[in-house]
Amino acid sequence: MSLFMKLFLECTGLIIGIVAVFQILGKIFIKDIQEDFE
Amino acid sequence: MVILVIVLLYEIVSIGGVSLYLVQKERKQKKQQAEGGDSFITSNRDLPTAIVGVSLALAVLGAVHVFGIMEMAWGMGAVSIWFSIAHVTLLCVVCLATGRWVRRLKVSTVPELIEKLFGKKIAIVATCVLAGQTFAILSMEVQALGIIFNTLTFNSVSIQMGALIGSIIGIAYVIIAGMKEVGWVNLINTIVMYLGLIVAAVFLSGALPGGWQAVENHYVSTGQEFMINIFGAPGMFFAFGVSNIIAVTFAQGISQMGLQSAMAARNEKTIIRALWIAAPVNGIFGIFTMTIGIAAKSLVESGQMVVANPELAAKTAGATMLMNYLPTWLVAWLLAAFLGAVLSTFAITTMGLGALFARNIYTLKKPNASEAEQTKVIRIMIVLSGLVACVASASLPEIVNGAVWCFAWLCPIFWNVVYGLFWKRCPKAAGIVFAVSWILVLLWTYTPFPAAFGLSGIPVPYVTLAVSIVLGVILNAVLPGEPGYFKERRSVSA
Repeated sequence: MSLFMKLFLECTGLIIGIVAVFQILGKIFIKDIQEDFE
Repeated sequence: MVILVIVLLYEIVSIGGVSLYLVQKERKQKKQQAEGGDSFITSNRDLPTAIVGVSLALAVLGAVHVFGIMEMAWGMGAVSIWFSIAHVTLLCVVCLATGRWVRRLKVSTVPELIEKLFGKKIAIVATCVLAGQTFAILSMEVQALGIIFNTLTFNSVSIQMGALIGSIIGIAYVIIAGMKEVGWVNLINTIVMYLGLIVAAVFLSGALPGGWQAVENHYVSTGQEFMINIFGAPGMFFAFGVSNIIAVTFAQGISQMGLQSAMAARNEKTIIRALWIAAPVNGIFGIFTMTIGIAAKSLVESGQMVVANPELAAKTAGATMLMNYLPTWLVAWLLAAFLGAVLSTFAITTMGLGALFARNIYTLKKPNASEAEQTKVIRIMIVLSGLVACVASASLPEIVNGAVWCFAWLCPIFWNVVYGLFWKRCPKAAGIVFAVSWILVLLWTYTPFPAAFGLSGIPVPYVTLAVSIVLGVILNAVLPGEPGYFKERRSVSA
């Protein structure tokens, strides 16, 4: 695997991982989706 | 010159085409709408997921992603990607928290949110600081526009003239239809940008002498393995990565430009879904510029490429490599993509400035100003701020340092918004935290104060973060105040 592909896959994996972790944390801690709050 | 003509043609066709289409569409819709609403800055809050996603991504993808990461990769290698990854955490915070809050409260500017929490006086102070921070970022984007045009014309056009040309195109990006125009041009730019980056990456793999293997071999054989490791040398991740995550997330997470697209989203679910578009579009861009930076350095160090001015090698090696190893049409494509990225940030910052002035300053003098009048003021401010930024950009510091300094100012606003929404609304506590944080930023920047206390190595964002959390928690615990905005609402509805 070329250096570019290695770095690309590492960083993309990291990005997807961070988003997934935040999504899970968001679901746990920020549960209420109140549309049209006001 | 051929490259410049191609790039300019692309910008004129994409921006002009979208503007014409939106103007025609608006004319048809005008008869059906009794009133315009705040359509210019929030697009009547009707933007779909894809547009919100790319607009959030491009709003915070500008000069630093293009030039800053290439420059940083020269000095520290692959660890420079953490500047880009810091923006992924920022977009997570915007899409799952702050962006949803501003959309839920239907505000059009950040000071409107602050006014709901802490009253008008604190909101006016926050407006001034937000406007200053937004203008500083705008000036840096204008500086980057000048550099792009200077590169495109091989020094024929000066950086100052390039900044002026770029500003005029940037104003066109936003002036006609506001947020809706920015959103649709962003979508086109994102597609063109990523296609260009993919084609360039494939082409570069074949064009580099010895391919990527030679780049890897160079760093391994010279004992610089850290250059191709995203965690870098020992300590680099904590010194660079973590500080960037703190500075970017807690500043841009509450900035006008960072939240403008979320305010215009159709609903909260749109913002949550947009995260899956915004985060990859923003984060992956940095991988390309980082790899360009480390490849360029290996070519210079191994003597296979020469840069015109060795003292400026960190800044110019990436662009020089692209010019040397890619065909003209692909260089034009790539620079058009870079230009699009910088222009999108320029557009949203000028609009943010216009919105801050029209909604939070102009209305102090004319509280009953109609939406049409406010839109006119926003348009005037877009033109004025764009042109004034041209003048300011001529005397700016290094882009990355400047950006981090600007971010430090917004950290106390972020934390006080969190306190005000979920814990306690205490204007006195917010005012003291703002004042102490901002005085410390000035002392840190312009006086020997940090050196006198042996703290000169501590970056400014850490200082404002510490003050916002420590002083903010103590003052809110001690001083009286009303319950947090959401807390109060919840207890009322229960």
